[in-house]
Parts: sequence; C-alpha cells; structure tokens
Amino acid sequence: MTTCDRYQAWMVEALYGELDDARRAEFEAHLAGCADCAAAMHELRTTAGLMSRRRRPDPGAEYWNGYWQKLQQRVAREDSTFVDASRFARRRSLGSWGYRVAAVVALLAAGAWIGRTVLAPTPNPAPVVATTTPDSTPRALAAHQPSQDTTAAPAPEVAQPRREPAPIDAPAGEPAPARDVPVENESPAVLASQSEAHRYIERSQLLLLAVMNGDPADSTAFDIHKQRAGELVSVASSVREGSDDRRVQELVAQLELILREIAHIEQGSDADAVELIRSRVDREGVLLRINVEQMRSAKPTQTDGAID
Amino acid sequence: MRDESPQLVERLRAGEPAAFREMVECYQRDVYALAYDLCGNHHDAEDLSQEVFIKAFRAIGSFRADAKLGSWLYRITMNAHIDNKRRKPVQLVSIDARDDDEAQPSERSLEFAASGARPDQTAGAARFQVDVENALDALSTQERAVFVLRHYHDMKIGEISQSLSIAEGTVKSLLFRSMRKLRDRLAHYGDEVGDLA
Repeated sequence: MTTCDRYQAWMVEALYGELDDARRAEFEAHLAGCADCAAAMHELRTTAGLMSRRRRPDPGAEYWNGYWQKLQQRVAREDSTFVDASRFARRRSLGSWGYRVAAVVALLAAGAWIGRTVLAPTPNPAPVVATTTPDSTPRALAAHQPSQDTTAAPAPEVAQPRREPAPIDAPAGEPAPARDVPVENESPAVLASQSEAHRYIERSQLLLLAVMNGDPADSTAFDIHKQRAGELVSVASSVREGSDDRRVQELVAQLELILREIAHIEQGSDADAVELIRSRVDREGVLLRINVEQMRSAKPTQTDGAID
Repeated sequence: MRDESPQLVERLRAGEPAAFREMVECYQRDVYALAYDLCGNHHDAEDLSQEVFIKAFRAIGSFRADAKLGSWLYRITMNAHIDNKRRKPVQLVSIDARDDDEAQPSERSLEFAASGARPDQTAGAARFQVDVENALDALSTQERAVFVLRHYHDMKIGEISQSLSIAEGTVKSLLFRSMRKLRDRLAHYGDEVGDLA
C-alpha cells in the first residue's frame, strides 16, 4: 500500500468527520503536501455538496394524515389477524422454540447420518450371502427362477454384493424389487422430479460451499462459479415446478435468489459482493437447510435381506 | 431518527394495538424518507414503508428492550429493501438506453414537479434533481444503501456496519465507490455547489 492509498482509505471518514483528532491532523498534513490527494478530496467534497442539494419531495399533510388508514387497509388485505397483536408475540415466542427444537433434531440427525455413512466401516466388497432354502436351493435363485424345480439338485451358493441382497420373502413368480426403491409407492414421474430437485440442491450446495470457502481474489474460479450459478438459475423454475414438495420448492426458491446474486456479481470476484452473499448464506442458514432437506429426503429403503 | 419513550417500547412489547399506531405515527416520516432514498420514487417508497411497519408489528417479540426502536425500524427497512431488490428480476439496461431515457422528460421529473417543486424553481433546478436521482439509480443496491444511510440519515460508519451486518472496511469501500460513481455522473455540474463544509 502506497502512502496515498493509506490516506485515500481515510477520505470518506474525513469527509463525514469520523476521523479522530490524531488521524485528522495526520490526514490534513498529508493533504497539504500532496496535490493529488488534495484534489481527490476536493472532488469528494464537491460531490457531497451536490448530493446535499437533493431534495426529497414531501407527499403532504393529507397523505400523512391518511397513512395509518392506508396501512390498516393493506394489513386487512394481507392478514386478518393484525388487530390481535399479542397473538403475534406468542406466535413469535413459540416459533423461536420450534426453531430451536428443529435445530437440535437436525443436529442429532446429522450426527446419525454422518455416523452411518461416513464413519461406518467399509463393507466387505463381496460378502457371501448364503440364503439357502431347506432344500439347499438359494432363495434368491428360487425367487428369480419360479419355474425351476426346487427339488432339483442343490445349486451352488449365490454370492452377491452386500448392497444388493435378494429379498427372502419375495413371492415366487414376481421379480424381486430393486434394493434402492423407496418403501413408499410413488410414480416414476414423481421420483424423477424429486431426484431432479435433489440433484439441483446438491449442485447448489457444492457451489455455495465453493463460494463460502473459496478465495475471493481468485477471479478465474469465480467466473466458473458465476457460470454454474447462471446454469442453475436457468433451470430453477422448472425444478421448482416439477416438485410437489412445498419445502423443496421453498428451498429451491431460496437457492435461486442466492444463485442469482452469484451469477450477477459484476466483475470477476467483487470481494464486497462475495462477502454480502456469504453473510446472507450464513444469516439464512441455507447450508443447514440443505442438510436438513437431504436428511429428510433420505427415505427408508428396504432392509437388507436377513439371513434366517 | 427520533428517540422513543421507554413506555412506548414496553407497550409495544406487550402487544398493545394502540401503541403500534403511536409507533407508526411517530416514525412514518422517517421510515418513508429512508424508503424514498432507497427506492427513488413515491410508489415504491410507500409500499416499502408499509411493509416495514407490518414486519415490525409481526416481529415485535424479537425486539430487544435495550435496542433503539428507530434503529430497528431502519434495519428492517434496509433488509426488506435489499430482499425486494433481490426478488425482482434483473433488468438489463444498456448505457445508450439509459442516456435516451434521461434525455426525455421522465416520470420522475413529473413526480418531482408535481409534489416537490416550488413555483419559483427554475427548469435547471428541476433538471438537477432528476440528474441526482438518476445518479443514485446508477449505484448498486448496497452502494446506495450505504450512501443514503451515511449522507442523508447521519448514521455513522460503524452503525451502518452493524445494521447491514457487513464489515466497517466494506462500508467505507462501498461509500467511497458510491461517491466516485456519483462524481462521474454529476461531473458536468463541476464546482457549482462548493464544499460540504
């Protein structure tokens, strides 16, 4: 930082009288010997003087006398409970507790999820699941081969990866359901839209993490972030409309607003704009909301085939 | 922003409906003024100021007794305005188009003439007011917010930093940048006005 840069950083404080005595004396001494800074300061003062001449039109006494009435009319349109102020206060109080309980539950669930998925020991890549029938015919094989004579000679044991065990009680003649099919019955279209929404949320999460943790000075990386944010914004409405889950819709809408901000960062990596985006993500707990949504959407799947 | 009585704050926190009317009547001009400075036109300023009071009414339970009511309303105004701007689709306006707009008598100049201009005002003075509003419009949402809070509402840099939840250095940077942009937009007025001091 050059000497002039140092004093330039003080100019707005000097303009509005926010420099303490020591800094003001130092600043004025510098201006006395630096024509460039003196000229810059003069320009600032001139601009401030021009802006001080701006006048704000007053709507007039009649407007102010009717302001409360207009406000009441708007409230009546928006919320019929306006007159019951205490209810709002109570609702706020209950809401605060609700948020706290939800936050605790979310943290516990996050811990459980991390424990199960991240910290769990890696499963044996190809454990043998021997699910033999009394006649030594593997049940899975029996399930997939309903017409096969189960009294035939014993077949070799079926070795399957642990993640794709066959159900032990699948009725003969029906194909075994896939391992990862959710328990709830949902149409393929619904599942597809949910999957799309969750992919969108996951991609947004990755982008936000990159923005939150990246170096704002890295303009190349931010150009990529901006591009990705723009891509996500362009499909946000279709993702939102494709989902019939209100919470997902709200989250996608919230993400869209933030992504739009990222996509419209003016130049390269505007550090101020990035900081505003980061503080917004923090303030609104966006990443936590994403985690909660991901846990919520991790629907129960059918349990592994138990061994009799 | 005026100071409120402690009794009013207590009555508000107790949810007394009459206290809300009192609060609105006490702060309506201040909130509207800030809203106007942020939005630049009466219609949006009215809409925003009403939104602020409705939000304040609903969130009064979260208001800390030791906080200042005026500062709290300012904070709500700022946040509501920034959120509204984010929700609105981005409008891309070419520099040429903006210049063309300015060359025409705009809605803003008519509004100004109708509600604010005195009969003795010259056309040049009215034109100046329009130019100043257009210069403010050229700022980003954050730059404008920081500038109007410091310049027209006498908030200290530290207070702005707290209200907007951004670092003081960022406030100074935004303020400096906004002043430079305003200077560029109003350069043709030169030293006509003289120093602020």
